[in-house]
Amino acid sequence: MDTQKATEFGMNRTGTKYNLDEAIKTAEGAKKLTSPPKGDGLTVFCDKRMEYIRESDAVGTVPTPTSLKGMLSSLMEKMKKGDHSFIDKLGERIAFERTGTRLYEALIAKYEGSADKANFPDLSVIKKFHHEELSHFRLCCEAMEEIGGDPTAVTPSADVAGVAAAGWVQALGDPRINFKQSLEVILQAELVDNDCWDVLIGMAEDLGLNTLVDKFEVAKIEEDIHLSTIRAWVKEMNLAPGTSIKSSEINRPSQVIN
Amino acid sequence: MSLDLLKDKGTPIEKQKFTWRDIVQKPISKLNDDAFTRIRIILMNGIEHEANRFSHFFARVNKEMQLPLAKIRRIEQHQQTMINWLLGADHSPLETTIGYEQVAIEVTAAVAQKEPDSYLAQNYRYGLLEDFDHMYRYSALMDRLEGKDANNILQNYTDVITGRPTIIEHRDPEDDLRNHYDRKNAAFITKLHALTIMSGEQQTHNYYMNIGPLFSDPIARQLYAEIAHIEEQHVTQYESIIDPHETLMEKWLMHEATEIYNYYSCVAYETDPRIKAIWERFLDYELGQFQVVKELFKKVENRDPEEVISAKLPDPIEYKSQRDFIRDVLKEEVGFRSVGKDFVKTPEEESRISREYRDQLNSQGSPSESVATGYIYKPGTELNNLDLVVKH
Ligand SMILES: [Fe+2]
Ligand SMILES: [Fe+2]
Ligand SMILES: [Fe+2]
Ligand SMILES: [Fe+2]
Ligand SMILES: [Fe+2]
Ligand SMILES: [Fe+2]
Repeated sequence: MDTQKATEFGMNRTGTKYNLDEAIKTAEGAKKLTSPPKGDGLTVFCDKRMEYIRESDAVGTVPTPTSLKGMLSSLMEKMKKGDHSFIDKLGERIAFERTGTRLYEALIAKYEGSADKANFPDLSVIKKFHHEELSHFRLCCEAMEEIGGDPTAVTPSADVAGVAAAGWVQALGDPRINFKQSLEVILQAELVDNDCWDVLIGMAEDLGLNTLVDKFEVAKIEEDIHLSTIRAWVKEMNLAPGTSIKSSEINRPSQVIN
Repeated sequence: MSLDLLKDKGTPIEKQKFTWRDIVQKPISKLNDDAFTRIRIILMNGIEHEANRFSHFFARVNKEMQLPLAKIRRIEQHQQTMINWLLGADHSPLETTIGYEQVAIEVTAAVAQKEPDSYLAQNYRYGLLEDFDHMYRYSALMDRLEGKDANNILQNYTDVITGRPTIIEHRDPEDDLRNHYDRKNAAFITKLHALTIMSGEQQTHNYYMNIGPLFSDPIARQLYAEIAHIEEQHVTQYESIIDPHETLMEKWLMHEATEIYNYYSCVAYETDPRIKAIWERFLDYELGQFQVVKELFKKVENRDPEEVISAKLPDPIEYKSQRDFIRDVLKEEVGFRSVGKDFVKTPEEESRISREYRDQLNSQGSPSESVATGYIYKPGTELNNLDLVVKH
């Protein structure tokens, strides 16, 4: 086994079947020789987590508007009652669309950097989506200004969205992650993007922010196209022969059987 | 390949040049590269890190040496960066942690078997069983937090079994300090081992201190806090075996020699040709650095470098699975405790001061116990209910 390992370079070594004899030793040793702390792991995990959850502070608070000029009375009323959820969610959209713009820039680099672009979708469409993410970001900034909020502040929901998006940013930035894989990551982002617009529009409607609703609806139509397009591309690229995984990325059969 | 430290000139330090493009290369593959390639990368990062830290300390207490130290230290900086950046970003901090503990286990086990000083060999075996337990605790965390299998990183080389339980590894500093080797009589390999293992533990401590707060889950934050504490103990323990009477010039010479020895060992075992070329390049760099330090040593100390080092290097550190050796040590020595500078064979003989110290620290619960409650490692994680490792 060791000689094979030393000479065979470029095969996937993560699984137990890569080296079954040694894997058996690991598995049997663990079963025979482990003396674990007594108790139920799931319960302990939950208890420990609850301990901290109960005494936790929030990630932060919603920045309160500095100017109430021009603010709709419905929004003002909500805020007087301590409900800042619209500003919170609008702040989230600002952050999300801004990161989304950057994700598309990384995707475009993946496209341009690919040697073989057969079966790739139309780059001009990707560039259009990129531009739309940017315009959505700017639209949300203007909306925040209009209602007296601070478009440069990080609201709690914006922070949470940033934490959740960190994996997308990491994946899009990795040069080893190819165009198709990157596109699949973008699909995740667009799925979230789409649902979040729905929620935001609903909130604006509740508040009677009619001009904003009209503008947001336009953005939502564009987001619908983003989602359906990327979704279709991902399907096509996975089903089109030869595009999903290059043969050089597959272990040779003899290695798999071993 | 046989080297002569005193004769081989290596690459002159003026020619040890880098560009950013050169420093930031393609990373290794987490999936395809051999786990021992990652082990070597992690250890060499630690060796370079120590070269850098030591050099800074030296510079703070010696005006005359500041310039030569700074010149060579700048190269160590570039070396460390190039090596550390070889780790792919698809390694989560927890996966890299599994890699760090695999280094501590496999390299310490290799060293323990080759160490000619029986007291120090005992010391390595003692520390080994503690890092071995860390592997088990972190594997439980990885399984239960990220839903990932530690063996994807370990590649079947290293066991995931309880060692000396982390909860009882905490002890009073009085029981962490050890006797040191005697700089005048110790074998060259003894000095190389001590500096190598100390460097590995120090970078592990440093790594946990940096990444611990990156975790959101309180269980992970607690576990890193607890194990970072043990790594601090390990650094305390392993640095105390190095003769404190060595002069700083002598230590500098030993640092360069340790770098040479470790690159030499990496070259001997590396299976990835691209990474091997880096080890070869840096071996030549270290030989070049050694020549400079050797001349400084002769000038400042007016004595023969061979009083400190030997021209011929010992056999390379073995990079191979030490499973059987470790299981033997586990069976024989898991109950060992350290009392003062010595080792005792049963928990009952442990000092009161360490028991009290640990009881206080663990009095509001033990992260390492919580995380592994009821945990028995299983291929494919504990959620998997297929028996995947049977012979067909
Ligand atoms: Fe968007
Ligand atoms: Fe979008
Ligand atoms: Fe170096
Ligand atoms: Fe450890
Ligand atoms: Fe350690
Ligand atoms: Fe060096």
